[in-house]
Amino acid sequence: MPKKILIVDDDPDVILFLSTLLEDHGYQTITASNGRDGLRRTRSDCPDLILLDLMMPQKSGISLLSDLKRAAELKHIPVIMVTGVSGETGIGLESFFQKDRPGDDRPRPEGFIEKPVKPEKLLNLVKKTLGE
Amino acid sequence: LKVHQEMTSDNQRLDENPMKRLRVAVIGGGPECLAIMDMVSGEIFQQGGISLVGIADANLASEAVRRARTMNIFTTRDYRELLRIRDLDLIIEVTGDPEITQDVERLKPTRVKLVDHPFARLFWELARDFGEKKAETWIKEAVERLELDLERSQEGYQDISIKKKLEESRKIYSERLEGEIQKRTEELWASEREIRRQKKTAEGILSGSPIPMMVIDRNHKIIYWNRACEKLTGYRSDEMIGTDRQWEPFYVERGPVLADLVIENDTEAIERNYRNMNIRKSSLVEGAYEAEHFFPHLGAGGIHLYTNVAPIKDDLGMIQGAIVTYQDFSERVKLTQESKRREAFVQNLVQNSIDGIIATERTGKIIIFNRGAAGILGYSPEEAIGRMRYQGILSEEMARTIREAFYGTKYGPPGKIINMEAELLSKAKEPIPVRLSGTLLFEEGDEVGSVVFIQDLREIHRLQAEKEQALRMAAIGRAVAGLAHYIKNILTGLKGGAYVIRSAVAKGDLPLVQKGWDMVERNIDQVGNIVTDMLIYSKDREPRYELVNPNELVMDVLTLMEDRAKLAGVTLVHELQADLSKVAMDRTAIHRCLLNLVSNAIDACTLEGIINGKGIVTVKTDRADGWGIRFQVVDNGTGMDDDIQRKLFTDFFSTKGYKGTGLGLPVTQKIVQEHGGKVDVRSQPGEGSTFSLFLR
Repeated sequence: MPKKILIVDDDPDVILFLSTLLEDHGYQTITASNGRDGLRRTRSDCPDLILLDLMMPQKSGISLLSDLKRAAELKHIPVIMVTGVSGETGIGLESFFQKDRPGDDRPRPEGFIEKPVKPEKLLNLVKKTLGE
Repeated sequence: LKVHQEMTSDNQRLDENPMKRLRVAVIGGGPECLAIMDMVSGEIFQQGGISLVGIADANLASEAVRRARTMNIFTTRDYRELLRIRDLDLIIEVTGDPEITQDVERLKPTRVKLVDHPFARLFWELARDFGEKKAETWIKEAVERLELDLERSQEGYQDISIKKKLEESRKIYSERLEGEIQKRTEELWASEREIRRQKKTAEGILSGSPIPMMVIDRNHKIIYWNRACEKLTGYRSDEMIGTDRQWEPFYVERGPVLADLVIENDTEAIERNYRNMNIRKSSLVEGAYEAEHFFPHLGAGGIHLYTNVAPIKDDLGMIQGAIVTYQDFSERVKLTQESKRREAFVQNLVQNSIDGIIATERTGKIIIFNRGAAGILGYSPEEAIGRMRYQGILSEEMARTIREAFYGTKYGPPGKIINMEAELLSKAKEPIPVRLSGTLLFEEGDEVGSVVFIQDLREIHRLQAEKEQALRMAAIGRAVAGLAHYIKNILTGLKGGAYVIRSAVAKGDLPLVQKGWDMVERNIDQVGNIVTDMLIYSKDREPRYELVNPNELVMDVLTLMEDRAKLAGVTLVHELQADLSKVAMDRTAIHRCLLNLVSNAIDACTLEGIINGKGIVTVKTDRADGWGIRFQVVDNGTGMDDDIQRKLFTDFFSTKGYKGTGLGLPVTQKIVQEHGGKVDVRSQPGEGSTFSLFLR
């Protein structure tokens, strides 16, 4: 039974690329073009992993992540955040999430990957996150 | 009797000639003495045997003394010396000083007769009034009788008949003389009473006068010091009169005051001593002077005095004293200084103002033209002031507009102009844009001129343009970060497309090849777009105008966007007004604007289109008031709140995540502004937006 991966991104090009890549490597993909849709597909299709774009209209990736991690029945699903924001542009998202404080219960994704996405790197991260 | 010319000189031993003549000496060298000298040197007296043998005068420089010397007559300063003249018969006292008369009376030997002042005067007047002939007879008789007296006194009175005769003639003479004396004396008293009365009146007037005044006589003694003078100097008249302390209230050291010099008629000393006191000759009184000077010892903290000194002359023109009047003009000086200071302050303010300041008289003549105005208009203040009229710096039309602004209420209340934009003409005849404020000037209700303040708008315009450019550059700088993100997206798209094509080729999936190829093409197009947008936005450019049919342009754009709209589930609609004439515009640039607006509208409707299939974008054309054409792009998409609307054109602001560069609307607005048009937005969150684009 192939693992089911939900791709949430507002860019059809990104969706086409990622779905092609993952399917080529034996995964099943479902897609959503915004955060609201992404939450709905998560509930209806029960994916094994979610690839979540950070910047989207309507409902941002952060907002969706927050919703996912606060929902008891969904928070076990691992999330990999796909983002263009990186150390190069001045803001490291990874460090943002790692910055711990006492009582800090912010939702955290299980992994990060930066755009432009390198196929090898993504596949390794997906494999690792799924525990394969 | 034979006339004998005496040989005398100042220090000679006195005359010893034994011949019997009337030998006369005179005390006082005044005008009376001169008159006596005239008579004595006349024929009658020489025949009559009168010799003038001596003159005494305190002033050895007097005219009578000088003349006496040329006639070899003995002169002395001390009248007692006269008594030492041998065989002196008669002393005539003409100074009028009763003390001298008494002194001579006491000292003289009995043979010497004394004619005192009133008698001498009478004698003199008789001579004058009765004419030469009569005087001759009189004098002869008098002389004969006197001679007889003298002879008799020496020989003894033997001949009774002679004595009788003599007594008779003397009686006749003395009766006539007495009659005359009585008459003359009464006249004299009357005139003296009149003089005294006049003197009292004059003194009363002077004393009560508010003008400080003092009089000194020719001996430099104060003879008058009025109440106002007491008040001015703080010195009482009873301590000053009779003294020569006139310098004391005014100076630290004793020295001649102006009045002293006027009495001596010492013009050289006057010029020398008073050069620094604004000395000048009076234009009203001959021989009088006026001076202006500050006396630090007077009053509290000194007084500026105007001094007028006039000589007092007798009827023969001799200086007998001087009258001095003072005028305190400290208050005036203070006011003048204050107003000078104030004027200097205002001048300074006017001259150093950065604004141009120009004032004109009612006739239009320029009377103030400061350095600021010179800097703006190119005329120097010297060229403009008094030589130019406002017509020289205003076109006829602008002059009329400004006049209307002054009298109307469009730029502030009547008589004022507040912040009006105007154009002045520079020296080089260039129009200079200025901001002008001003006011009409009134004096007692009459308009006397105007003053205007001008600011050079060239500089302000230049700075504004520079600031806009700087803001754009700063925005571009900020945008670079955003653009890096965007370009990364494009790269992702290109790499993704390449991967999809490779995968599709490997699988032999031809439709997937097509999808991958489209992806690559779209991303290449985006690179072209963003480069063009950046170039448009960062550079000033002139539109390349051509006549364009607006409706055809709209149809072009809609055709291009058709596929994308379909993909997003959005319907494109057009409502174009028929028969629109062609409009001058840069076709490529406006095409880009419409493409931006329609593309934005589709994006705004995308969600609606995908979910409900009800996304609609409508493009309209019509002719709005005063405009050549209006394009409207209406969507029923998400709409925008006020905050987003404010940021639309100002920055590279995007709501589209990594899909937007934020350049679309700023570029659109810049192009439209370069056309002299405008972009207008109306939007409500949840109800959609309308972008209107107006061109002339």
